[in-house]
Amino acid sequence: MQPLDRDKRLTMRALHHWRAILGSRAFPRSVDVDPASLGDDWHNCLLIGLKTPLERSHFVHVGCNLCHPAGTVFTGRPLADCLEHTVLREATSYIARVLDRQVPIGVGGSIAQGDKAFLYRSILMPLSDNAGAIDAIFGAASFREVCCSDEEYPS
Amino acid sequence: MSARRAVTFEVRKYAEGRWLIDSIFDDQALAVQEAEYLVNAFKTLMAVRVIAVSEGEGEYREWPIFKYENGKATRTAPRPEERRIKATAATPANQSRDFEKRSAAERARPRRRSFDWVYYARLTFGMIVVIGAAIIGVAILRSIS
Repeated sequence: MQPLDRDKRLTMRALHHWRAILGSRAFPRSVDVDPASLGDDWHNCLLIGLKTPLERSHFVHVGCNLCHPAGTVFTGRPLADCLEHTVLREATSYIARVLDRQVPIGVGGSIAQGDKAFLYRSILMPLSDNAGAIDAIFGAASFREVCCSDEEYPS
Repeated sequence: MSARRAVTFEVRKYAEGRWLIDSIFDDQALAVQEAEYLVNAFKTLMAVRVIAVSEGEGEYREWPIFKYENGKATRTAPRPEERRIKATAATPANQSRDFEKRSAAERARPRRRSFDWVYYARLTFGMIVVIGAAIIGVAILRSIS
């Protein structure tokens, strides 16, 4: 793979990291996700260990930039613990689609928190430790506060 | 209230003798960007496409947005419905047209030469009429003299 310019969008950088650790496997392993090579982007990344039913799935890692309220430790906690109208909630709301389609899916949108509005962009990518069933999800999300006239998604 | 039609953009690649969905985005620009990344990063890929998929109201439609095949990348023109919508939006109603001020695109575009046979039929008919009139005129002059 030839070196390319580093993508300006965080979600695309995360996707390219997922591709880099994919190799010849159907899905990368969760242990191959490398915080060091993600650098500061790791603070906007999340790892989810999947369980059946999906509600029993839990966070393995949530970057500090995605923790709301700030400082909340989500590691080991179930998905349901993240609050409504947060980037973390929105970014994990389409896990079922990723499991269904078995490919990375990127979604963006807007959320309102009180009198503030945020634009976010997120991506979820499947992981598998046994080269078969998807047993984990790697994700990334970026967001920024906007005023009503803003239209562009965050980088 | 009618169900909302959701449009997603699927990046598809041709690998191992079949088309595979590589990734899915809700943003067309990102999907095309990712397709271009795949084309540049993985030279072994034979073909990459971005397909817009519209689902909702019991309908499923898909149409290409971006194609990379045989080393050539093309962005596909919008589907006819989109073209119509864009044309309607771009052209104000009751717009008077100044034929003297044609746009550069119009000037560059060769004029369509349809119905050429009509032109040649008229020309032939005209020639026959002129020649016929001349013969009759000469005959009249001879009869007078």
